[in-house]
Amino acid sequence: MNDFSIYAADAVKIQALLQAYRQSTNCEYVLLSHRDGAVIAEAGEIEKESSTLSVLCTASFDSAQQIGMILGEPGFQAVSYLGKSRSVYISAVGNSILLMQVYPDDRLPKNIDSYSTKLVELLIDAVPAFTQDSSNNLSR
Amino acid sequence: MATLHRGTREISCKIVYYGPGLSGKTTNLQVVHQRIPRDKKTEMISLSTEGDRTLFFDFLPLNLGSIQGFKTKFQLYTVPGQVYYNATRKMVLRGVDGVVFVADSQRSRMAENIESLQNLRQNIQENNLKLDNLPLVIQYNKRDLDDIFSVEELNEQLNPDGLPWYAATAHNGKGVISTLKAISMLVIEEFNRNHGVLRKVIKSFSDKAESVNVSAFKPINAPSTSDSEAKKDKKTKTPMAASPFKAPKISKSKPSTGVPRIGSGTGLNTPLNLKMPEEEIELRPYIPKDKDKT
Repeated sequence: MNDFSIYAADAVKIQALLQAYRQSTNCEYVLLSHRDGAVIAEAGEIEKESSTLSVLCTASFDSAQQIGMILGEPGFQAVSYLGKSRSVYISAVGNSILLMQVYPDDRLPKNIDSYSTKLVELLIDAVPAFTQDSSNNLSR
Repeated sequence: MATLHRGTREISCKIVYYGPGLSGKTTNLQVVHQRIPRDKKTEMISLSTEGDRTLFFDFLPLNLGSIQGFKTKFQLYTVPGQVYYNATRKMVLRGVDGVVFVADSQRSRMAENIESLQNLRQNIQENNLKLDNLPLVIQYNKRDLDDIFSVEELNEQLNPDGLPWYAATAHNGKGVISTLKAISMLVIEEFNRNHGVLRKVIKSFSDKAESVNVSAFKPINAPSTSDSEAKKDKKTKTPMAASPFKAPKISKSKPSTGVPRIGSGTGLNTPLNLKMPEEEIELRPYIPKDKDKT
């Protein structure tokens, strides 16, 4: 079974990156989750159960991928939602990980794609295992 | 595929309730949600239609004790049973650790049971898994109805390999917790078995690095030198807006790939002690949270 494992040392690196990102971008909450729904790391406060958010984040991203496939676009890299007081941005980190960002505003930061890309690169540099496709069990 | 988090010391496992439409998958989760002690559960999420049919999935996270200091989190999912929601079922099955197949015992529903079981096998294969290698429990639901098959007849048609099975009447809670206990134990056993085997491989790898072939455990998409070069190339060519984000300095003393990332820590062979409520308790009908308010 190809279980996905996060080392304690890697967890510290991830946490440091998420905290730094949150402070730099005024992000209210940032969540790193596995595409199978498990929470990997979070930074910031939000009054919701993180595993539920993680699962819904995955479902949302997967739904967008299905829309993309119907439209002939196989690789959406990010989806976003704008609300009255909160906005959400969900992007892929490698093959198996998703990054969800929550902003306390009715719009997302202007350069969120670039900020997010930078964070994703740093996360992959810090934990190269994020590039593994661990959501499929290829060894069976 | 369980997720093992050594930072927060958590193991997360995914169990999917599968079966034909209206066989009682959502009812199973609703009953579990009612009967599990408050400290072991959180809110149940249902992405359903106006008519309370499952549209995407139901989701119920459970915290069920610990193994060697690792908290075990089980994520229970259902899938929509209707034939035309197959893409959704396939998505929900990704990374599944165990399946409960909820069959409808009524004679008139056998064709749907068989079709759903075949569909499960196919979708599991398309997720690069094999149903025969996956913990699977069958639940024969709706045992209180008239004109049902006997469990012997159901086993003959749906369970020729003699997998664990449970008779249930999910709407009044009978058989629901037994089914959950059985699949949870199978998932944990599978996890322990795999990690036990892998620990031995890793130990022999570190003891006799040259004589043991560990290529099977090489990360699938670990970046090679050429990949890294290509990445650097791409970085120089792709213009990027200035980011205010200054990343913290992180020590790279410990490599994150190149060695197996599985089961190299403390032993996880202690059986999980699942404490769940006893069977045969009469239940109140489940009332979804949003309907409480109206």
